[in-house]
Amino acid sequence: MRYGKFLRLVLWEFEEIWHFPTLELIAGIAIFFGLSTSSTITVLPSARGLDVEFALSRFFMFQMLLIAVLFARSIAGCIEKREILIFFTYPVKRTSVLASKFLINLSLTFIIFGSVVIARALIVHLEPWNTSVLIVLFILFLQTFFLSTLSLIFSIITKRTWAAMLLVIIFFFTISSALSQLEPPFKYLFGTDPIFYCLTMGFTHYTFEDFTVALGSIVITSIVFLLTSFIYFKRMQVD
Amino acid sequence: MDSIIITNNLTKRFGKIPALNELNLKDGGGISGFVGPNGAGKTTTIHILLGFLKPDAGTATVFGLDCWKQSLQIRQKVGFLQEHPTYPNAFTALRFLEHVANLYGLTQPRQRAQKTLKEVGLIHAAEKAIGTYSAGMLQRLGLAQALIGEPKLVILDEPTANLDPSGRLDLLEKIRQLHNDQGIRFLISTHILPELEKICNWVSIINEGTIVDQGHIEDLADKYSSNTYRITVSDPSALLEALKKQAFIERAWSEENIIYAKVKDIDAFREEVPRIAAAKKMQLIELRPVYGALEQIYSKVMKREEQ
Repeated sequence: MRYGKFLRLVLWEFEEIWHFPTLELIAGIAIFFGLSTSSTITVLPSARGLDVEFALSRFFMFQMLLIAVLFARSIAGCIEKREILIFFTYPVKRTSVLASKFLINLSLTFIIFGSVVIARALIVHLEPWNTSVLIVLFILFLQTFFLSTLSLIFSIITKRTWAAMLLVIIFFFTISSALSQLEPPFKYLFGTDPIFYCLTMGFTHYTFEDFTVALGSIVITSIVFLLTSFIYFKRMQVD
Repeated sequence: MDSIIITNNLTKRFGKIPALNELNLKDGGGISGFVGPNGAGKTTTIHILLGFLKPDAGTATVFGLDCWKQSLQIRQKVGFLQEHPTYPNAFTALRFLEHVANLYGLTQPRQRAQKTLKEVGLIHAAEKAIGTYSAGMLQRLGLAQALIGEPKLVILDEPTANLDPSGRLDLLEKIRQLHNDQGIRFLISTHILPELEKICNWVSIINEGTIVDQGHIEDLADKYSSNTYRITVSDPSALLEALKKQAFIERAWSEENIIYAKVKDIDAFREEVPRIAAAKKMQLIELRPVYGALEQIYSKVMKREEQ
């Protein structure tokens, strides 16, 4: 029964997001960022994986903005407008409410951008199950997961839509700027390039240490953000 | 009936601002009113009862369950209508209630949703988007979502706010009907007293985060009335003559076959009147204090507090 309630919350959230008027626009812009390039047909066979990875990096900024907006609207907005009280009135766990919101927003974003990655792979004549494409999808998932947990924690702490969105952007630019000043391997904290190159070509461009720092920082930070958000949400007081 | 809502020295502060100060609330078992001026702490109390807020000190229980630690179990038994509810505007009422029914773990959620919409008189608008609803329709929807889980207790926070007079009467009649037919208990928070008086048997008065008085309306009326009683008997003129001779009566008079008596000694009066009626072989139909409207009790309680 508890499982049924969780699925119902997921469905509820999905139906609300589906009514989001700009969802179609988001998908359109994602496709534009992912697929628009003049040299797609002439990509060399050896560079096709890189081309797909390049497509991913091209829409990263848009992906970050989209996740920030979706989470801010779905979670911070819900608290700000006191819509969250509706959920707190019914016999469902707070963690289930948050998990459903997190899951649907994460999935929706991953599906939109994952589809663009697969479409890009097909354009450059790569099968979707090609190792390079799967690695790009894995990186896309890590990236989406990290940005989602970042947006989640800011949404819950600020409880304000605009504040949550702005903080995600400010945090990202501050971190990027600070990290670029550092020396390897710390330069690669939260970076996806070492992960892609190490997984596709071995440790030729980046060291094992660079790879571990990049992957570990994303995974550990995401988990810490996620757990902190859930604990805070569970104990949060709403009036 | 026993109280199911009990708070003991409940205290809550928002920063430096005290919201509740050692509040001791209990319900009367039937339809209970929770009255007080704006900002007195009514909504804060309700939010603690539902587990939205954690008390700083004291305890709050509903059905014997701790409101903060066991709020999930409490919410399974309690329906709640917020003061300014925000529902998903894009949903139809039927779809929304179907989701809610599922969250309560009910079987046949769609049928339950339809039945509840019918019960609150919204079935005609079941397929309309909630965003198109009027204030009155939203309030009915609010009542529907509070009732769909088959609650044993329903908490209504300012339920008649934004309703026109006929909408208010309809809602109050619905509450009375639900209590009589299904035995649902209600806690109604409001500052509009004449409405409450029509349906409540118990009232708790809150001011500045403290319960200043609470009890059955008759008892409070007794407490704050000016010792005037109303007596209905089968032979009013005979009783009136007898009463005028009694030392515990200050003054007695008759209006349309009903006797009114200003009493000096209430205990003697309550003891003697039934005896006199029995001695004169007349039927005692009614003996109760004449009290003003709940509004008068409320104003007397508040005045006493000010002093």
